[in-house]
Amino acid sequence: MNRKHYTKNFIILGTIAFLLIIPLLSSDPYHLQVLMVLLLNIILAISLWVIMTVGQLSLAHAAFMAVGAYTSALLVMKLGLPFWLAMPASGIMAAILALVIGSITLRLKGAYFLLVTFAFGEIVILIFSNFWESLFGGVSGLIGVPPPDPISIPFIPQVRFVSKVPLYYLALSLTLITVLTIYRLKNSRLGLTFGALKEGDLLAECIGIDIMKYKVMAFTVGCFFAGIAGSLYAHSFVVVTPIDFSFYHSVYILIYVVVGGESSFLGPILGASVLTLFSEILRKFGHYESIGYGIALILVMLFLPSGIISLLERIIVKVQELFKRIKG
Amino acid sequence: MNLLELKNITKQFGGLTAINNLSFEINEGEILGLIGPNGAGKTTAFNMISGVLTPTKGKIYFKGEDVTKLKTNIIAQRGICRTFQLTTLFKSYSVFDNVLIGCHLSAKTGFWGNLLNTSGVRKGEGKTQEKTEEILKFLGIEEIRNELAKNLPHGYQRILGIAIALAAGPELLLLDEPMTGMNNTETNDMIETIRKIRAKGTTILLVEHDMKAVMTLSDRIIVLNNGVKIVEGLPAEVKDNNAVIEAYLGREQDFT
Repeated sequence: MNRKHYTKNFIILGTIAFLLIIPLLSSDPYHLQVLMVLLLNIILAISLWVIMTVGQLSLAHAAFMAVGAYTSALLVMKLGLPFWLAMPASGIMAAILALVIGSITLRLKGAYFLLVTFAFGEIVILIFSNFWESLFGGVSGLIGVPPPDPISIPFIPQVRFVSKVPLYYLALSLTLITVLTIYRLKNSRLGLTFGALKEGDLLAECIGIDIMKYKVMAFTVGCFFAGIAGSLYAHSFVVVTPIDFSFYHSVYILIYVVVGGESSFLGPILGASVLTLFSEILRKFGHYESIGYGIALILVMLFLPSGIISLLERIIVKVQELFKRIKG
Repeated sequence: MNLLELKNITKQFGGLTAINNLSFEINEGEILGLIGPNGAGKTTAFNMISGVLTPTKGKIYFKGEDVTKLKTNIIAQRGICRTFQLTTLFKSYSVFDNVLIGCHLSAKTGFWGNLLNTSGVRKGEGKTQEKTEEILKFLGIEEIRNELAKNLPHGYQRILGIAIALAAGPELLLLDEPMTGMNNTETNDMIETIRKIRAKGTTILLVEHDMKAVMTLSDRIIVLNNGVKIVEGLPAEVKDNNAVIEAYLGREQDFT
């Protein structure tokens, strides 16, 4: 273990500890609301990143989130299933759909796959807004999605999801589970294989890698977590409308990954965090929000082409040098 | 015994016939040289054997089994691996990781096993790492193990390309112009390396423009011209063959 690892671990543990005690520092529902959106965006960005590690870009990530959101909400509202079953079911639903769509379309590369996912996303939104209105609720969507059912954990009083605080902790737990799972995957043999596909799929094929299998695997895993995020979204924010999951939302998720830093695991997490907070700050300026956002994006792309994460890495190096100088 | 057999292979791209009725065999343990002028169809033949292209007509047998229509990764699984004319590597990975990726076929790649990091997977990964070490040592590149592939000098990149192919554990190794862009010393090193690989029992099909290298290395040589096999024989026989000289230099014209 060198010092770089220490610094990194320190920052990560510090961040997690900070996130854990936030509800003690501020009980303002608005703050918690923003943080929940931030956590959701982290799940979405890091799961899209999994798909990007095999060299594919998807503009259907919000659509898979929509599939999760509607699945979960409908299972609870129409069939009376508990949230704790509906949530994994929504992830599985999104994963099955991804498996089917991915097996057909992942043969396509680059812009072609991007356009197919774009079209798929639009189709999903169209179906939710125009078909089976009695089920999906049309353009106005589903209203009154119930919060998660209360759970009993030994030794602490029953947890009821009536205020923002328990919902925040739910979002935080799901985010940590997602991030840890994907971290494990990235550091396993599979992570290496995924990366190999991005670098050169002909070479990968020639050493015996079934490239379709691993592309579909990455796509399915990524979409599974998008589905989970959808479920969390639906039950945290009560209302689910098709427009929430439009193509724009997919583009935003993609921006989180790219601006954060595509080549690093922490990049998408950082990107989602910084940009969510940034757009929250800009919200005060109304119409100027998207202008400010656009300018910020251009500046990042110009001056930090490998993402905000590269800035963080530079700062860490500087801090270490400073420490050394103090010691010396 | 022949390891690989091409039977009446024809490949057409639209109206262009790249390979016309080509048949040849590769015997187990030999180094077979495949030469010919540019556009003769050497790389096309290579691509068909490795499954990147499918022949228009004809059959390819590997160890007696028909492998004509198998996909590239299945062919690799059966035991045929190739390198590329243009250096193709996992560029942003280290030398070690490149070879480690190459060990895919002997690695444990199950989804749940990897996610849960089971003891079986850890043991398997230990084995692939050992295998990677062995290959690095065998090719003499263990000192550059932590360098990124894209930062390597050309000669090392070519060797790394071979290392990746060897990691897949092939019985038949297809080398597509391994000496391209090398100076004399590097070429001689490469010749030694190829000999070493053969000594370990790997059969080799070699496409190469460097005549000296092909002549010293090959047990037999096949000469292609315009997609047709014009000569097959020992290096000494091929060297002095009139048809070969004609193919490379053109026919002597009588202007009188």
